[in-house]
Amino acid sequence: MPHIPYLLILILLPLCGIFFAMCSQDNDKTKGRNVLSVALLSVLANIAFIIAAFLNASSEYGKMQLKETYLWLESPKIMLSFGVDSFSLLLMLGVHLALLIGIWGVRNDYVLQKSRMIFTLLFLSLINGFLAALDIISFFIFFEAMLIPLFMLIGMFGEIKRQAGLFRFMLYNLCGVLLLFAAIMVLYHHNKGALMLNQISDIRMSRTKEIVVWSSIFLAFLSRIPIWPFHSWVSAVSSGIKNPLVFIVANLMPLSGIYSFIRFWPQSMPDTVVFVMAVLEIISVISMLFIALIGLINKDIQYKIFSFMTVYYIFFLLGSFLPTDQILLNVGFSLFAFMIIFAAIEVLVSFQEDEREEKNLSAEGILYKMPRASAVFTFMVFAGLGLPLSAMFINNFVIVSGLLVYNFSTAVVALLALIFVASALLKELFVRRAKVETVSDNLPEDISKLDACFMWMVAIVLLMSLSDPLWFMRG
Amino acid sequence: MFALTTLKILTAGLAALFFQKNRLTRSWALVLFAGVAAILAYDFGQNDPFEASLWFVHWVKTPVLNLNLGLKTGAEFAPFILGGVAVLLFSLYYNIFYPLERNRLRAGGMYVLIFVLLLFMISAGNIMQLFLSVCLLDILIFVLLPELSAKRLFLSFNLAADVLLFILFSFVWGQENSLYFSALIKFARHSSYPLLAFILWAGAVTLKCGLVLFHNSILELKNISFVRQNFVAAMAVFLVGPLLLFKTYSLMGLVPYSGLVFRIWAAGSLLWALVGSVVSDSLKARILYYYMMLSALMVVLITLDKNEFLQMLLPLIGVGLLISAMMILPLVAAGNEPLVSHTGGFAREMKLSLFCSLAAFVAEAVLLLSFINAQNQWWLAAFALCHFIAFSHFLGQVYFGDVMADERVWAIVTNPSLFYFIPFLIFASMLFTSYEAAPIWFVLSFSMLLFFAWQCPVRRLSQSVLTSSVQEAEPVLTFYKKIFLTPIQLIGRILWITVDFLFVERVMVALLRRMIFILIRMSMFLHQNMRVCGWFFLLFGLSYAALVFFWQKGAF
Repeated sequence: MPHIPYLLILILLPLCGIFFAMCSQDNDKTKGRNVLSVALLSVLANIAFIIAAFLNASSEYGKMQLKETYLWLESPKIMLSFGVDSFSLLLMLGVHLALLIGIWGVRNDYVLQKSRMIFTLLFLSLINGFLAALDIISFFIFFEAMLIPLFMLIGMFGEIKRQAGLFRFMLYNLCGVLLLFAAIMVLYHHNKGALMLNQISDIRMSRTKEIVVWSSIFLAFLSRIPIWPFHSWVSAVSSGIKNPLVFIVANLMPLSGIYSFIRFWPQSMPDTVVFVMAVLEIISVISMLFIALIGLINKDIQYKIFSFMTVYYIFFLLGSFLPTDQILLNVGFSLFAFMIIFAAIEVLVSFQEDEREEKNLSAEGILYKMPRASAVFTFMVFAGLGLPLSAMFINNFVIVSGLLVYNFSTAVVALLALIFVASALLKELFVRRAKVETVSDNLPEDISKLDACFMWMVAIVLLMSLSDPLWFMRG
Repeated sequence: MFALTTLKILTAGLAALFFQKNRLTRSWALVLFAGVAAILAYDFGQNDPFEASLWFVHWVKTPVLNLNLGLKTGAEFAPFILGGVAVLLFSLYYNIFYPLERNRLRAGGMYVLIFVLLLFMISAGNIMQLFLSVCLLDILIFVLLPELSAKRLFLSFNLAADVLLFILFSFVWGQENSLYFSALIKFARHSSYPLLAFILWAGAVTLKCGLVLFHNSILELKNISFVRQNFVAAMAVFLVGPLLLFKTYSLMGLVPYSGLVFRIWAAGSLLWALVGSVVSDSLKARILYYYMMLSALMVVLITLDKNEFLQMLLPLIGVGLLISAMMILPLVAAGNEPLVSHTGGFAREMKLSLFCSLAAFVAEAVLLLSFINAQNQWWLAAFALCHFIAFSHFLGQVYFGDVMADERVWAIVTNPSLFYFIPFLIFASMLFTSYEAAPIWFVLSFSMLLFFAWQCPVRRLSQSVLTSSVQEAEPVLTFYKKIFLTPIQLIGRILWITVDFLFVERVMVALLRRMIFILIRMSMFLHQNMRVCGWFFLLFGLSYAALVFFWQKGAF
């Protein structure tokens, strides 16, 4: 059987989609339908390839498979190496499904549909490259390049009112990129060439160099996660984004930070920089609690979703630092469900907010007249709370167990933060479902039957992940 | 057999749920009742219906977790299963003709599905299956409840219980690396944080049982129709809560005073329920307070002797349903008038209902007398006294008190249809034939209740039904709001203002901006055509060269 370069296809297929999207007609007559179809097809085709890649790989965590290497430069010799394990493939699948939901959510928004889809596909291609990168050069390239479509999407479609906030958000991310660039250059220079991610822990450097390099890497990865006290720079942008697809893309960025820590960060840190881990733990718990508390009192639903996501991302980060590799697959399972849930919640909230703005309605009781949206929104919120409707249920249990065993005080704070964000989300659900007698004729319109069908299909995917998101690989 | 029965019931429930019928709803509800009753009667009538049945699936198989889900039970859990059957059939029966019920077939389907989940919970062979079924039960009950405030409070309290269970079981698994019930015994012996584990466990159990401080989870059900209210309350109070306590009984060894804590909590619940059932103006709330009393009694009985509790469970459920069915009669008779303050003097028009209510109480008294022993006598006596006072007030106010009903109600007051008395006949005859007591006790309890109903022993307290401030008061919810929610919100707001706004925006960002401004000014100054600037650049170049030199020599 011929060797199929799955990973290259996963990176190139969205780029092909971009080509077709650019060629497609986008005028008042087509209303962005062509470009939307191209984007949907590209994402669906990629999902099919991811499943095919899964079927050709084993579900074991940590065993890099489907390895591919491509020569980029002859002198200096730079190779781009790709490879995946079940963890990275799972994240890829989760990202694809989240973006699919996001694309579905903006399918009726015709303004500049072509540009939006092109940048989304570009983001998809780059994040695939990032999740499949095996060496530091390709890792850095994709880590940095992901910011381009992100900035373009936020700038063009985010509808951010506070330009200063947007500027700080970009500066915050760019600082991270520069720090990683500096660290990678030192590593490259020290090693006299590129090296694979799993070889980084073997490198021995002088004490000063170690402190500089690892601290830079630490700060670079941290810059992707809305960590205290810089969270407000990210939250100002995230909560201001009106477009669900852009919101989803912007909030997938912390995933790159977590994934970077998991892949790049060595299991056994050099003694000189062990303090970094303690710093990370302290920052993590402060951020979780702080953001959760603000999410609880904030009335803006977008901020609530942002706080929900950030707290969960940090929770997964803490889980991934537990001194056992086996738990990482559970973190992956939980992340998979989490991405789908937050994307679905965001799309549904965006629909409600559009109705609210258009018909000048209050958020209270908006779901009362939208039974379809209400049912599926309730399902997603329940799944987000960690009830047995998705993979988050059992895998969060495993992560919390690990945290309780290895670091009791951190686990307690993390649990408190999780309870706070869950309460905030639940409170919002009840506010929106409240029975309100509407006197005006301006009743909110429910989601269409097609939308409801789509969302219930997403719910079925979540339900199927309850026991094992990789169920299709078993038996 | 057990697994097959469960599957048949599940199919019936799903069919009822998905094949909605807008016409002949009562007939379809009757078909569902008859079908489920026939399946249960036939299958559970076989030899050893609860033994040797095994069905399981691999649920989770990851490197760290390997879990099976199964449907296997034993005769030990028969009282819970039969108790569930009693609650299910009672609800399905009332679902046929209770006037305020809508979507009868859908509601019936939900009752059946919840019952199946109860069987799943009873069959739990590991704590994860137990936890899974508890959570799923909460979700299904949330779907079943038609009113938002009932949904909100029920879910909030039950989710709190789920969170506590989640943390507790995470502890157990983290420490023992096993999710089987045997791990609980080891955990109780060697837990690193026994007090914390006990607080989690006791909190979860009391939340699920709806004991005092957490009774609002079921009390808000007073706003929904009787059948749904009764089903949810009975499920929570008679089955889920006690079953959770029963299955995790090994954790009683966590602390030496665990039994005492449960008993004190139960005593508080009895007292609270007594006051509530005398003071409350709502007939349905009084039924819920009665359930709260029963719940407290069950918790105590389990902590005293769990094997003896099993013998008492089914009769207690029977008598609980019987009393609730009798208490709802005036409401139905008065055209669904739910307030006690709008009744009074019904004895004239509802003699049969009054007689049945008295007989139901006597049946309860007989049951309690049959099970009394040295260990539980004080608790049974306390429960009997509380219920005696509460029920006599109910009878006194509704049947004997001054007529307070308006003309509309008074015009329609009459005994409800005979359908309402069929459960009475079944349960009462079963109780009277199964448990014997000396005739003197029949006469004594009957006449005492009649006398007290006429006299109302705590009359002054019961006059609060006319005080609107008492009726509207929510002391426990206000307590939570003042003690927990407000401080948390205050902390959040303070943090938001001081850190996000003052510290980050006003200090850090302003500092950065000023630093950048200073750097720009410095740079502008250094690029001026002045001699000092030239010296500066010379010094800067030399410093950089020195830095690179020493770096290459390995000085850093």
